[in-house]
Amino acid sequence: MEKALMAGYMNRSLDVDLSSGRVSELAINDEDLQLYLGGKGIGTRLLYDHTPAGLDPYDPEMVLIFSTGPLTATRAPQSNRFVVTTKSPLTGAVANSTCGGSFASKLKKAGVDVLLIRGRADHPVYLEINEDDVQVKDAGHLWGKGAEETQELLPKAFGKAVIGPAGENLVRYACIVSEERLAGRTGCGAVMGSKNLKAVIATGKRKVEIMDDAAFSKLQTSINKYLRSHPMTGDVLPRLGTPSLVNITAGRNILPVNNFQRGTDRRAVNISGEKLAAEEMEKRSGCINCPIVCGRSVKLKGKIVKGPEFETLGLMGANLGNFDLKLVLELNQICDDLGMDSISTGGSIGFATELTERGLLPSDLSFDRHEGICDLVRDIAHRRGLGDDLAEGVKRMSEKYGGTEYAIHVKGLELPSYDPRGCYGQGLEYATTNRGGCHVQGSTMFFEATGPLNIDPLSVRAKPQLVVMQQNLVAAISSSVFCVFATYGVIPGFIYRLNPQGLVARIIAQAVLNSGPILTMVLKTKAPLKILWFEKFLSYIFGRKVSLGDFIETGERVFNMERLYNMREGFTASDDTLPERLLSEPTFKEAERGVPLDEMLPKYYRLRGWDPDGIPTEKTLKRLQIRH
Amino acid sequence: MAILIPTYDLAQEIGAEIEIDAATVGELLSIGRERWGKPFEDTVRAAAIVVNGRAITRLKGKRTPLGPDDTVWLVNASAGG
Repeated sequence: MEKALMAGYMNRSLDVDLSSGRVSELAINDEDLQLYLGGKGIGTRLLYDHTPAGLDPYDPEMVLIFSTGPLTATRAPQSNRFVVTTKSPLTGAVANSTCGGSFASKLKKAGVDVLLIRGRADHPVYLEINEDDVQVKDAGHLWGKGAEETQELLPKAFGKAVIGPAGENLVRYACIVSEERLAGRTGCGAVMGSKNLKAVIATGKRKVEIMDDAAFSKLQTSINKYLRSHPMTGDVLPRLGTPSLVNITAGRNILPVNNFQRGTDRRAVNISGEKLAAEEMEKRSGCINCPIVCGRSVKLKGKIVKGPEFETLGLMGANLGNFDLKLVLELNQICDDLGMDSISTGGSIGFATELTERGLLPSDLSFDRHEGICDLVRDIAHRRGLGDDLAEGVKRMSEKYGGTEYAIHVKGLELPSYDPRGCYGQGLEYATTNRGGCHVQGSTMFFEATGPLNIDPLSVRAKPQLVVMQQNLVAAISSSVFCVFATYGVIPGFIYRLNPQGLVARIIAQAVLNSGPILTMVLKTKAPLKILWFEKFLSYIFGRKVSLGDFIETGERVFNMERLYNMREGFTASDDTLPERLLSEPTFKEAERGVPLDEMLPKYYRLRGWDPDGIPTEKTLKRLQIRH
Repeated sequence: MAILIPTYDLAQEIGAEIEIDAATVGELLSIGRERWGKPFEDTVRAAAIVVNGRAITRLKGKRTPLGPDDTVWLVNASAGG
């Protein structure tokens, strides 16, 4: 009997073995699709199921999974994204990274929900996928080329996901590039390089079945309108992009300066988003069906290239003591073309610079001079000289040269550009996020410091609840797959228009700070209603009701699935921590120490239904229907 | 003398870093209104006032004292990844 087809999916996934060249159908049962949706969720489930414990990320049998979601290739705003999942060569934990551009849409229109790649080709290859065929093709002419040229040399009609020299040379934080967008973090590009796989390209014209197309279209129109009129998604992000965070984080004392030695610098205005928009921006750019259009294009040496995001301005700028905007633009372009995560690159160079200044590393690096830094970044991608050490990341460098107390990483992943000593909830989020020190698995700092409310950043009250709520929401969003920027539209627009010093804003912020017990109850309740647009889109596409409670529970399931994978790979509660500098060295006058993680972590574990050692209880796993 | 770092837009009109002789945030705001008028008034209505990284709503509001080493930033809200 033929299997019933599920709306929202192409009902075909592929298993490609590069060692043998064999392509077969990948069986994913319907129950797993319902429980994990797609994207990050199904990627994590498959990683767990298709690899044995302890498998090295560079072992040929390691899997590299490209997954779309039920909403990919539909007109739902901010939904044309794919997720790459594997084991991180940087951290040894679960690796996943989401990416925009057109590849996700074209992969799904080629009739593929999930592409699982295993094995290792005996020479450089790329995969070409269309509706009828999958071919493993020779990539000898592409090997060694940058991400931009590689994409130019591949056929125009295809969506592309490629690696640059960093991936080929197994830089542990190499990324995967699609158009100007990047699956940036955790080193997925290095795993792709270890398989001698230079690119995956796809094209097709298949359509995604939507059960209630009329309701879906109506919702799409209204949400597009809503996002365009919202103060954040319709004004600040389109006008200034993420770089607008430079001044804000500097003002809030959470911008990392000189390897997180301090949290602010008045020179930050020289690399601000406002300055970038006024003096360097040529045009805006965005992903398919996204009303926000958050990308910036700038002119660099006579050429129009992608401009930097906030993270690059923070980590390749302030964190290196570099407040030369043009130099950051150049470093950003070099990193992108080499296929290298600018967060980990900046974190690694910042750490090496401090090691140098403390006499622990023989190099010319300095927080005051930046000559030769562009060449150093190229050396990392090609593993030349000092670049070879830097390509290993902060954690491994600290094990070789010392300085573990100021090696700024969590679980081996270099921290992004928010110093948690000025946003304690974000510190808890960094410590507990499964892929390591990452800011887009919850973005708690938005509620504490960078957003319209000021939920006392130096208080621990209600922070465990906020972190759990946000992590679950984002895990569900990344499994659907939506862009996490969609979450900024969830906060009603009127809140952004309040006077931050005014009574209403203060009352709301204080109410949230005091709402711990209520939030705890909310976390234990499965809301039966459709409230946000995420679950409404899913309901219309599947033709069955998906409540907000169902949606959030999916996120909770995915988060726990990631946790189980990490535990299987040897991670324990002792890895849920922060660098010593961030725990013990205060950056605020009135603070006696850094992030009081010990005051938040036990509560966080209880809220998650984990035991005091951070292990999900059988009761929790049963409730979430997670097999293991 | 406290240092005022205005928002980027306001800085185009009044300068990027301004030393102001004020004993409290309230005094600083009064001086700013008197010196720069409506552009300053409009900015402080929409921006968070932050002293040494702490929002004044978490300090003593307009009564927050200012010393010679203090930095007052005016910051808008934003988001990103």
